[in-house]
Amino acid sequence: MISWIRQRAVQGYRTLSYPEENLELPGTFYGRPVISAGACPDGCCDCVSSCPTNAVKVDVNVSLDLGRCVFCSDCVAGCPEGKISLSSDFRMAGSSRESLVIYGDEAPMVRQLNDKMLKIFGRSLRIRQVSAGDCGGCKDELNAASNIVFDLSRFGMNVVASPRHADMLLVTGPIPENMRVALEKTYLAMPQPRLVVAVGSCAISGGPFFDSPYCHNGVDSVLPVDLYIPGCPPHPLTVIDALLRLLGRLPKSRWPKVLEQPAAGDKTQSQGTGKP
Amino acid sequence: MLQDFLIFKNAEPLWQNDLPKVSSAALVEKTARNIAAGARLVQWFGQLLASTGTVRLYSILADDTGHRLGILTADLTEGSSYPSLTSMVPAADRAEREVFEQFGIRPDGHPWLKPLRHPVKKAELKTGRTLGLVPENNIGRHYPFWKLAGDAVHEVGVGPVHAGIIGPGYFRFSCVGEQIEHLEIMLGFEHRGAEELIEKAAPARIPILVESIAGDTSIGYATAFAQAVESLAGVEVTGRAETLRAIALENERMAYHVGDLGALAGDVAYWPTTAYFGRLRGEFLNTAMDMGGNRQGRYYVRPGGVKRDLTTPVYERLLKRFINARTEVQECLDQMFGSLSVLTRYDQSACISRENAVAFGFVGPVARSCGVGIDVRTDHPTGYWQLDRHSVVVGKEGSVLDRAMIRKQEIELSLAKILQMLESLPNHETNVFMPVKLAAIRGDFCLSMVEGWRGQVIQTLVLNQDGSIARYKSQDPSFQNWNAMQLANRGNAISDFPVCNKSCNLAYNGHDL
Repeated sequence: MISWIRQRAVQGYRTLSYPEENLELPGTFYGRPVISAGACPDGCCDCVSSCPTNAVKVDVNVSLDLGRCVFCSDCVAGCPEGKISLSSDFRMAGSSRESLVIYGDEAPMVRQLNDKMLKIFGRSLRIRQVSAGDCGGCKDELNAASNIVFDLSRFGMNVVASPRHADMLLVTGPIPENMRVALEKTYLAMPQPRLVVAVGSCAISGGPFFDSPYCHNGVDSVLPVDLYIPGCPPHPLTVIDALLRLLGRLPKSRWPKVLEQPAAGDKTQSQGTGKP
Repeated sequence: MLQDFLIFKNAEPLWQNDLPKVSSAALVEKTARNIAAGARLVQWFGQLLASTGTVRLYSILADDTGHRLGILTADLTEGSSYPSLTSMVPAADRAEREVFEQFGIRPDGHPWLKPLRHPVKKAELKTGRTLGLVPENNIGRHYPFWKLAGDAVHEVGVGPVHAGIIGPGYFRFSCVGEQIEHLEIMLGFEHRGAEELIEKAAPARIPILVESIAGDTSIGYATAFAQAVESLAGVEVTGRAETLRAIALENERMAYHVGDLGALAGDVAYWPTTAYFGRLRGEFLNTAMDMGGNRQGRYYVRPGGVKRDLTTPVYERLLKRFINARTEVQECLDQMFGSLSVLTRYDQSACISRENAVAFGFVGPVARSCGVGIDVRTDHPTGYWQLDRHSVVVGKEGSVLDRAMIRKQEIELSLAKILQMLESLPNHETNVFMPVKLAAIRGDFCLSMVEGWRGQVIQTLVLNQDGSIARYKSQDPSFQNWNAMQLANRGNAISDFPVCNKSCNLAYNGHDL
C-alpha cells in the first residue's frame, strides 16, 4: 500500500494541458505537409514520381492529398526546388474528402456539427472502433489517445465495447472484402443519429494498400463518412484536435489556418443521418 | 542435422539455380527426417514459376544451435498433390494450408485442410454502399469448426469485431461450464493481398507496403526487408546505420513489451501499472519519432541504411530519456511483480508445454516462455548483433506468468543494451543512408530474418534477372504462434482468456497478409 502511494507521488500528473495551453510537437515529428508558393520549373514533376501513394499532383500548382499521404517525406527529398516540407503541425483533419487536398500551408476545414447534433453529442460522445485491415498503427494510436497523457475521456469521449452504445464509429484500415460485412453490421447496429470517421490514410484512400484487389480503398466506398483524420498513423493529438473541432469544443486560437471550402457539392458527409 | 539441405546463413544471398531440387515426396521425407533429428521448420512456401507454370515448394529449416539454415526445393505442376508434411510435423499445418490456398497444391493426408485466409477479391462481388444487401462473402459461412459432442458442451463465438480497439478475428470457444475445452480461431478478415501487391508495386511503394503488413513491427519488417535487398545487391551499410537500426528495433520491443504488461495488468484490474505503462510506452514511441519522424517507426529503416541520422541534440535527448526510463520502468515493474494479487492470476494460467512449443514450431517470447531458447539475435545474428551478444531469457512452464516475466526481463535487457549502444555509437562522420535498388547482383534469393518483439520476422525475397520481384514471402511470428493461443486455452477458465490473449499478443494483420 505504501509503495502504491509512493509510486503515485513519483508518477505525478501527466495529462497534457492541451488544449487549454498551446502545444507544439518537436521538430522531429513528420506532420502536415506544407507546399511553398512559387512556380515549378517547366515539366518537372519529380515530386509526383517520388510519392509511393500517388498523393502529390502537379497541375498548375503542386497539390497534395492528405488522404493518400503516408508522411514518408520522400517528396521532400524528391523535389529539387525544396517546395514541399513536412511541418510538425498535427492538425490536419477535414470534413470532406475533397478538402484534404492542400495547396499551401493551410489545413483542411472541419465543419462543426449542426446545433441539433451538438445538443446530442456535444458534451458526451461514445466511440466504437473497428479495425478493418489496419496494420496496427492506427489501432495503437487510438489506444494511446485514451491513455493518461492524452486522456480522451476528459472531453466526455469514451471508447465503448458495443456498437449499441456508440454514437461514433472510428474505422481504421483499407476495408478488406473479408471485413466488409462485419463493418456494415457494426454500423447498422448503432442507434441513429450516428457518425462515421475514417482514421488514417488506409481508411481514407486505401493508403499503402490502394487499389488492392482485396480491399475497398477506404471507408467511404462502403459507408457515409462524416470526418476524415489523415495520418499514417494519425498522432493521438490529430484525433483529439479533429474530434474537438467537430464538436465545436476547440477554442479558435488553437485552430490551424484553414482553407475555407464551399459546403455545396459535398455529398460524402451525412451529418449523422446515417443514410448511405 | 540439415542433411541433404543446402546450408546458408541468415540474409545470405543465394542463386536460385544453385538450390538443390528433389521430388516432392523426397522433400517431405527429408524435411521430416531432419526435423526429427532436431531441426526447426522456418518456412514452407510456394512460388509460381512464370516460365514453366509449375509451382516450386521451398522447405527452409534451421539448426539454431549450429547457427545455420538449410534449404531444399521441389517443383510440382499446378493442381497436383504430394504427401502431407503436417501429419508428421504439426508445425507445417498453416504453411501447407497456405500453399493449398494460394496455388492449389494439395497435401495428401493433411489432417484437416481448412481455409486459412479465405481470399476474396472485391471484383468477384458487387461493391459499393449496399449495407449488407449484397450476399455475404464466404468467409466464416461454411468454416468447418471442430465441434465437441455432448449435451454439456456450449459454444461461445466472439468476433470478428471485438470489444476493444483490437484487430479482427473470430474465436469459437467450446466450453463445459466455465472451462474451455477447445478454442478455434478463424482468421483472414484482414487479408489485403500484401504479398501480391509487393510483387507488383512500383519500387518506391514496396518498403511502405512491407512496413504496413504488421505496422506494430515496422522496424522489424523494414530491417528484414532492407537486409535482404542489401544482401542481394552486395551493399554493406555503415556500422553507425546498423547500430541505429538495432537501437530502433530494441526500442520497438520495449514499447510493445511495456504496452503488453500494462494491458496484462489492466486485465486483472491492477490499474496503477496500466496507467504508468500506458504513459511510459509513449516515451519509446516518442523515441521512434525523434529518430525517424514517426511514432510507429515507419519510413526510417530503408535498404541502404536509415533515413535520418541522429543529431547531437536528439542524441542527448534520447540518452536522457532512456536513463530516466530505466528508473521509472524498473519501479513500475517492481510494483507490478511485487503484487501477489497480480501474480496469482498469472501463475499456472494458460500453460503451453515445451513439447507442444517444439512440435508446433512456436517462436519468440511464447516459445521462450516454455523453455525453448530460440532468439534470432543469438542464433542467426545479422547487423549489429554479429558483434555483440544477447543473453536469451527463457521461462519454465509456459504460463501467463512466464510470458509476463520474459517481457519484464527483456525490457530490462533491452534498456541496458540501448544505453550501451548509444554510448558506443560509432561516431565517425559516416553516411547513414545510401539508397539501394532492388537488383540481383550477388544472388537472386534471400531469406532475411530479425527478432522482432513477437519473434522471428522473416522476409524472403526472390528476384527475376531484371531485379523485379518474382516472389515475396512474408512470415510474421504470429503465423506459427496462433496455434499457441488455441492450445494454451484448453483447460483454462474462460474468464482467464483475456490474460492469455494479452500475454501472447499476436498479430492478425501479420498472419492475414
